[in-house]
Formats: sequence, C-alpha cells, structure tokens
Amino acid sequence: MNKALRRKIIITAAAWAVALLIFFPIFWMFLTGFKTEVEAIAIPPSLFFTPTLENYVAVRERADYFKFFWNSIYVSVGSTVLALVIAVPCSYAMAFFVGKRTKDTLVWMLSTKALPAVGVLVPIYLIFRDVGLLDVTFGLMIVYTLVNLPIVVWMLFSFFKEVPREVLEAGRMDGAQPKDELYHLLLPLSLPGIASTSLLAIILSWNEAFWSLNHPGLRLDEPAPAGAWPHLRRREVARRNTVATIKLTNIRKSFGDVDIIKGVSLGIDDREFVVFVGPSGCGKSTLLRLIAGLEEISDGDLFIDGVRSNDVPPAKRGLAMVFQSYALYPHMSVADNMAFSLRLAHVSKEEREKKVQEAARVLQLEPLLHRKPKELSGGQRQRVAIGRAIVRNPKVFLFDEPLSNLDASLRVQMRIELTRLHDELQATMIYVTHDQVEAMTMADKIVVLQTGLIEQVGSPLELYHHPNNLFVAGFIGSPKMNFLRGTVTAPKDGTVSVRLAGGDSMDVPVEPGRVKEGANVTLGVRPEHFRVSDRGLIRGEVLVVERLGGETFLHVKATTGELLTVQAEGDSPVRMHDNVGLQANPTDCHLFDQSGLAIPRTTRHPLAGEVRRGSHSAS
Amino acid sequence: MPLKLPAVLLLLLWSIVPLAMTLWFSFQRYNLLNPTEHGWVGFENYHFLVTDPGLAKSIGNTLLIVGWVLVITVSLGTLLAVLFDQDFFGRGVARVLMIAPFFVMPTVSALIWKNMLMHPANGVISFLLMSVGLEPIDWFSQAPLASIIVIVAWQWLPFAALILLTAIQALDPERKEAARMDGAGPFSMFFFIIIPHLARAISVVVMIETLFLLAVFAEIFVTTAGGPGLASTNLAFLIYRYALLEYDIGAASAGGVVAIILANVVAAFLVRAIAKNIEA
Repeated sequence: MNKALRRKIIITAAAWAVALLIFFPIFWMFLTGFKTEVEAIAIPPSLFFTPTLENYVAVRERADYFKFFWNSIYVSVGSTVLALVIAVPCSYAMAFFVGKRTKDTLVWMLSTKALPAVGVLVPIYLIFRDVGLLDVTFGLMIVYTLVNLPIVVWMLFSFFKEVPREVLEAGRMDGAQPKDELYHLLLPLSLPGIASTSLLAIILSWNEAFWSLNHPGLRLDEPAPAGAWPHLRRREVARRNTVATIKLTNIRKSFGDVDIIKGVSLGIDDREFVVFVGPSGCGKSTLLRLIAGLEEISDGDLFIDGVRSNDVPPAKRGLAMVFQSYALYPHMSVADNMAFSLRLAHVSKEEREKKVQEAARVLQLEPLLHRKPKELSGGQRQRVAIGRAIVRNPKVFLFDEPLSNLDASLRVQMRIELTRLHDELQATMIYVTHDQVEAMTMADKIVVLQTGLIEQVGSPLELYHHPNNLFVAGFIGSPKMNFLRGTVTAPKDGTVSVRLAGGDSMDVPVEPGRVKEGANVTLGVRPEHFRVSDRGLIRGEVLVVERLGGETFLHVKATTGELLTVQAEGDSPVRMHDNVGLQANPTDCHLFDQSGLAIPRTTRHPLAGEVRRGSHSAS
Repeated sequence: MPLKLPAVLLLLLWSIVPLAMTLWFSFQRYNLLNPTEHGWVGFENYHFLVTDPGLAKSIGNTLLIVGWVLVITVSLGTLLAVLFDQDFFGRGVARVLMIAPFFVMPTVSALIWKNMLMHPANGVISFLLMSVGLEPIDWFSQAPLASIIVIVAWQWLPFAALILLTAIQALDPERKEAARMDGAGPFSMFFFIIIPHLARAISVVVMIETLFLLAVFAEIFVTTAGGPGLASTNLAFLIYRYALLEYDIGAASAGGVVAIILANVVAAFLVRAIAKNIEA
C-alpha cells in the first residue's frame, strides 16, 4: 500500500469517527422515533427493537403540527426575504461608496445585535400589542427580520467586498450606473454569498425560540409587502469623434500625504500609440487611471478633445480600458461580455449582435462567442477583453499592462496583434507597461516615468539615440547601457575629450556648453556599440560568455573594476577568462554630466524623429 | 445615503425606542398583576435587583456559558475544519453529518439531550457509564451548568467548523505549495499558514457566537428551567422569570438594563478587536 493511500485511509477513519460522534444525538432521535412508548424509556436503551410507525401516525393526526410547521417556514423565509430587500442596498452602499462613517455605521449595526432580547422584550411586547401585531404571524416575521438584519447586512457587506474591483471598474468604464452595477454585476457575482446569507438567516429564524415563545402568532392571512424596484434610466451612447486628443496639464495625484503623480504635462495626438513606461511604483498605472476617471485628479487639468474632463464620469469620457487581469465578467459568455456596455446603453439587439460579430471577426473570436471566460486560454481572454473595448468604438483605448499575465511566446504574438489592431482601428491608444521591449516595439511615442515625474517623451529611436539623462539611457535598450567614469580634458567646439579612469582618451562629438575642463563625467556606451579588438579603449577579463547563436553577450570586468556588457557576433571566438580590448565609435557614445543630464550630441540621428506609421498616418 | 436609509432607520427604531422604554419602565412601579399601582419609584427596582442574590449568580453563569462554549467551539472547530478540508472517502456525506446539529432547533436539541442522552435512567451516557462499571450521573441536577454548556457547544460547533472550513478553502493553494516548498510540515503549516489565515474568520465566529450565547434561553428553558436553585440561571432567564413568571415589568426592565450594559461591555471589547479586521 502506498503512503498517500494509507494517509487517506487514516484521515477517512478519523473524519468519519468524528462526524458520526457529532451526528449521534440526531441519529438517536431518529431511532427513538421508531420505538414504542415503552421501548423508548427502556433500561438499558435498546438498540434492537421492532420499528413502529405509531409516533408518526400520532403526529399526522395532530392537525396543529402542520400548522406550526408551515408557520415556521412562512416566518423564517418571509423574514429572510424582507431582510435581504432592506439589506442589499445598504451593504452595497457601504461596500462601494465608502464614507467617513461607514465603519462606524457597520459597528453600530452590529452593536444593536448585542442588545439582548430580554432587555427590550417588554417594550416590544407592549408596542406590538398596541399596534395589533401581537398575535399575527406577520408580527413575528417583522421581529425576525429586525433581529437578523444586522447580521445580513454585515455578511452581504463582506461578500460584496470580495468581488474583484477590476470587474466593477470595467463595468463603470462600460457605462454601468450604480444600479446596473448592483443588478448586473454585483448580485450575480455574489450569488453564492447571498445564498449562504439567506440560509443562515432562515436557520436563525427557524431556530429562534425566544421570540416565538413570548409572541405566539397563528394567523396566516397577512399579505407580504412587494419590493418596488426602480427602473433603469436611459442614457446616451458615447459617440466616436473623428479626432481624439488628450492633453494633461500639470496633473497631480496624492493619496493622503503621499504624492504619486507630481505634476505631469503631456499631449497625446490623434491616433497615436503612446506607451507609459517606467519601473514599478513610478505612477504609470495611476496616470492611466486618472485619464480613465477611475481615480480623481488632485490638481491640474485633463482635456479630452479640448474639453476639460476632470469631473466627467469614466463611462462618459469615450474611453475603453483593458485591464491587467482582463476583469471579464465570469458569469457571462464571451458575446455577453462584449455586448454588456451596449446593453447598458440600450443599443438594440440586432445592433449589438452586429457589433459583437464585427469585433469577433477582427479578433478571431467567432468560434468562442458562446463560451464562458473560464473556458478560455489566457490569450483568448486577453482578446475578449480587447473585444469588449472595441465594441464601444471608443475615442481612446487604455491598456493597463495587458500582456503581463501571458507567457513569453504569447506575449510576442499579442504584441504583433495589438500593433496590427492599432493600424486597423486607427484609434488613439495609451498603453502602460514596465517592459521596455513592449514600449520600443509598439509605441509611436514613449513616455518614460520615474517617481511620479516624466523623465522624457519621444519616439523609440529618439529615446534610444538621444536619452535625456542617465535614467532613460539605462532604462531604454536591452541589455542596459554601460557607464564609464571619466574626466573632461579638452572641451572644444564640436567634440569633448574625455579621459577614462583606465587612462585612455576619447573625443566624443557633443556640444561642450555645460562642461568645463576637469569636470567628472559619465561616458555611456551601449553593448551593441562595443567592438572586441586587440588595442582597445578599455581592457578587461571576460567573466561570462552567453551565446545566443545569432549574437554573443560578453560580460567583461574592466581593469578599472567596472562590469561591462558587450554584444559580439554570434561566431565570436572569445572564451571565458580571455583578456580582451574593447573599442567604440565616438559617434555612438553618450556623455552625461555630473548631475546625470545628457550633454546633447552634435548631430541628431536621422531616424530619431521617425514615427512608425506609414500610409495610414493622419494628415 | 438613500440606499442605506431604510436599514439604518429601521434598526434605529428597533433599538432606540424599546431601549428608551425599557429605561423608562425600570424606574416605574409596574406589575401586570396589579396595574393600578403605577408610578415613579426611582431606583427601587434596581435596589431590588442588586439585593437579589440571583443577579451576580446569573451574570456569572452567563459569562461562564459564553466563555466555555467559545473555547470549545473555536478550538475544536478549527481542528474539525482542517480535518474536513482533507481529501478522504465520503467527504461530502461526512461534512453534512458534521454540520447537521446546526439545523436542529435549540428546543429540539435540548430535548434530545435531556430525554435520550443525559437521562440518568435510560440515557445513552448512563448506559455507557454503567457498562464500564461506573455510577450513572444525573447531569441536570449534579452538573446543570456544564450540561447546558455541552448542549450549546454541540449546537454551535458545526457553525464554527463550517465558517472556518470555508475560510480554509479560500486559502490560496499556491501559498500552501510555497510553504511546502519552503519545508513546512503539517504542524508548521497549521500554525504559520492556516491559523494566521483564519484569524479573520475566527474573529467573525467569536463575535457572532458571543451575541447569541449571551442570550441562551431555549436550552435552559427546556432542560433545567434555571435550576436547581439558581445553578443554571443566566441573565436572560432571570429577566424572563421576573417578567413572565412574576409579572413584574419594573424589575424585568431593570434587569434588562443590566443585560444591555453587560452585552455592551462584552461587545465593546469584541467590536474593537473585530473593527480592525473590517476593511471599511
């Protein structure tokens, strides 16, 4: 017998022993139910006896038994429904529109539960007697409703809190009003929670003895109140404008005392693919959420198509957002997921189907339209999330790290699909990522952020060839740029001579303006711009050789102690522990002053101003 | 705010109005047997209550019931939750059997224990004791409070186990796997992963149970009727006796006020502990 099976058998024995022990009293009651009156009190208790049904016959003949039985059901179910009707809006409001006093309200509600029934029995008895509810079942139902209300509110609150926020935010971007959010998203999603809450409330009422002992009710003719459900309000559909521009002026965002965005100004042109990139915590996602309207802007102005939109609700900004976790509605099919925003906007069924079909065609989702999100692969879910954005025909698409949950090969494929999609839809897109490769490959314009501030804005090649500072230079390009310490020896017009720590000198073609002789500077050389040669600028020992086939990366420890990365040809003969010299073309080198700012190069790279778009590009 | 209004308003009415009335009655002479004799008596009801030896005894009993039942249900409930979370044969059925007592009305379960299990003559427990040669015990006269604690704990154990089991199931399996990769055995898993994860659920169980246990009534009513003497009278039963056996509304109200104060003292401690766990 293997170990796992033996363990399972031991656990089975233990668990069943415990379960039977706990269940025994109920089993014994069941058994006693089949005994005659004499056998039931026999000493010792008899396990073997002739079963009889006489007790059940006796119960059946007592008409009042069934009356009481139905009373119990009527009161416990009725009071639970009533409590739910009252509690759902309340819990919803507390879970999602958190105010200063939400917590206090919640605690206070619980504390009413701590009010012992015996403490208020007398007044309630007297009130109900005077109102005429004392001897009716409906009166008991009201009592149970109120007794259970705090627990129902509280449990629903906890379950509502569990619903992933991104799904609700996606709903808000789709134009869901609080009511739609409640009926179409929150209630279906927290159905298991509502079911267990109801079950608990029913059981508590069912088990309740105190109030019914002191509050006998037998009448069954009271009507149940009907809940009045509000109607959905009609809304306009956001129209796609022909032009979609976004302008941020000095946007700030702080959470409490912490400033996340410290004054960002940026213009985004029509049909541009803009990528916000930066290390985690740089504020790029917050910036996106400010544009989306999911966070409130603390200071500064946001203009969408020239209209100040700081206070426009998210669904009315004409934007669509694709979330990192996709935030698909787990209880809806692919088609329903995509059509949800249109349904909220009261678009006709035919129109809805047409748009969903259209989006499914673009994204090759047609065979999957009837599946549920959980039946899809990661890439397919990603495409549904994009489809949900497409059907809304938004002015601007917002993407929050949409590829970070996919594996590497799928990420490359989706990168190509997104670029193709941008070309096909001709829409403005804003894309947030921490991956500089995604930024370089997809962007028309990259915005590099660090600690809530923009470090540089420009085309991919501009950032590559003309980084503003050490941070951008190190962040853009893979592998990272190498930095070497040096001193300025001869600042001339058009070139600056730099003596490296190793002793060799190089004339770098940059504008000398800011640097004086003797100033400490940093020389930046990208790995791909180093050449291995015998008489190099720098010498060092090769520590590691990484052969990728097409190219070889050498990790070199320079004589000055700096660790350098060098990209060599695929068939470079260099081996570990070789001593090599490294050479670089001065026009490929970058120079940074002591504060880390780049000293501008004398010649601009011919492709630095290039945008990727070809024939489709906007006039 | 309009969404919250109905619930808040109803609860306000439900709690404040009777509370005020209870407070008012507690300063009145008000006996249903003698309704003409009616009027302000100051603190006479309270004086009667405080000098009644039953008060201290019943408060003590109330706290004993709450404390012991909590200790039993939470500790056993945690173990049960871990046990029933394992994969074993017939898990679904065993879980239902384990949870079953919660669905039995308190009055009925009290009757089962009183007449079929703990009965000194024909009860199963007596039978077992005698079959190993021990004297049978008359539970409800020799250990009335302990008997009630056993019955109540039996009823609430499934509730605790169920809530804790749900919480354990919500534990991210990846976290357990990570702990296993880190070399956690069953015991470290229990103490460093499962128990901290359960902290919130345990606080929920403690709070909900406390609110109900403070007012245990049916079990006492059915089994011992508070006796013998006052040995198993808790505050709820004491007030019930004043109000509905002696028809003394004034004294019952004064007792009610004391019960409210007691409940709030207990609740204040709990709520402070729980409030930390509610991410409002």
